[in-house]
Amino acid sequence: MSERKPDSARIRKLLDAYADGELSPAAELEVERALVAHPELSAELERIRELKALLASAAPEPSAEKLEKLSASVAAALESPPAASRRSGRVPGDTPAFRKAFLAIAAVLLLLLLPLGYYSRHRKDAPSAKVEEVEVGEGSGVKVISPEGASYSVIRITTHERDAVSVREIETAEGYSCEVVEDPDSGDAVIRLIPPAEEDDRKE
Amino acid sequence: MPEPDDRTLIKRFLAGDRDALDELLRRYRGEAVRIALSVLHNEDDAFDAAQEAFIKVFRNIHKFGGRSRFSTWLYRIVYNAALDVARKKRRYVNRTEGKGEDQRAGNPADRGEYAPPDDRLARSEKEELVRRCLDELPFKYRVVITLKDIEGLSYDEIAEMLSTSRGNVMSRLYYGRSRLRKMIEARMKR
Repeated sequence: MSERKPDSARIRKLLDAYADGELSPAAELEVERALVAHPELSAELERIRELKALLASAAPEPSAEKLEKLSASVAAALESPPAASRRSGRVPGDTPAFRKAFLAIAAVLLLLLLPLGYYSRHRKDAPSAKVEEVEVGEGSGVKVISPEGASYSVIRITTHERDAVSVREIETAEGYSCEVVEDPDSGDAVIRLIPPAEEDDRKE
Repeated sequence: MPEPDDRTLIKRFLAGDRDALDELLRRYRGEAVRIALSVLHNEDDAFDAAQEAFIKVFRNIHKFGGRSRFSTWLYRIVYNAALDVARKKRRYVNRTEGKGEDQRAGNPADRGEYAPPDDRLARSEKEELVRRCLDELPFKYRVVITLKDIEGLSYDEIAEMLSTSRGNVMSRLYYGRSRLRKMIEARMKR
């Protein structure tokens, strides 16, 4: 009996993904065989499906009136020029002069952060920028922060493998990009800015 | 006549078609608010975050390369906008992993936080219970469960949104749903 426990625990962990239709064909087959052999797993699967159904039907429904107002507010904001948001200080200008100043200030900030262990890897080639990872439990969100404290908008994150290490590249709405390299041993994420020159090299 | 897909609507929006904007908003505004709610617990803040996100999305829509679905791109921006609001308001909920599933006490409505409107009579008590328990789950579980079971995103889409691995999504769903079930069962026994 003790020999079957690890398999049973493994299958239990796969049941949620099976209910979600997210397993590979081989893993799916493994679960289906276990379901036939162990009826208690079928009951477990049924409970997962019941919970999923309940969650789907229990979704909060924001009021239709507020949703209409949301649409109207967005449409109205889009009709005004984007410069309005820059005036409010939320999105800094993107002129070459500003970028130079930004990178210079950010370089100082980065040097201040290094001794704190903020960047534990890629120190020797970490370029200038202040990047902050906002942690909320494990669901961390990556933020790129300007020297003034305004956050840039992350518009795309792509993940790929480089030398067996998971690398996430981040593109911001304001034109800066950076990457997150995940340490395969510790799972820690290290963030660094990709300077335009390096980006060009990688494209070639 | 089939509804136009997102890419068609985006092209029309870029060509100046205001109706295309309305349609994209109508299509995704509910989901956007719900995702923001899963982070923020406060309806007004969730609407603010959703509005901020939509404005960013449509101002930058020419940068949308189409490598992922429009919805995934949008949800990612909504999620970040919600984190931003949370950071500004220090509305971090259940920030610490594994230190008790309910670090708050009492009814969310009593604390001025989000409570669903009570004018929908068809909702069963069990659904209300599920909603309350979901609301009290630690953040990392609540978000993945919302994205999967309420919004119907795939594991890959959730992983992309949250900048994490597919295995992590799978693991969070497993532990999150297990914990949620235990909470529901415990309360139903009372």
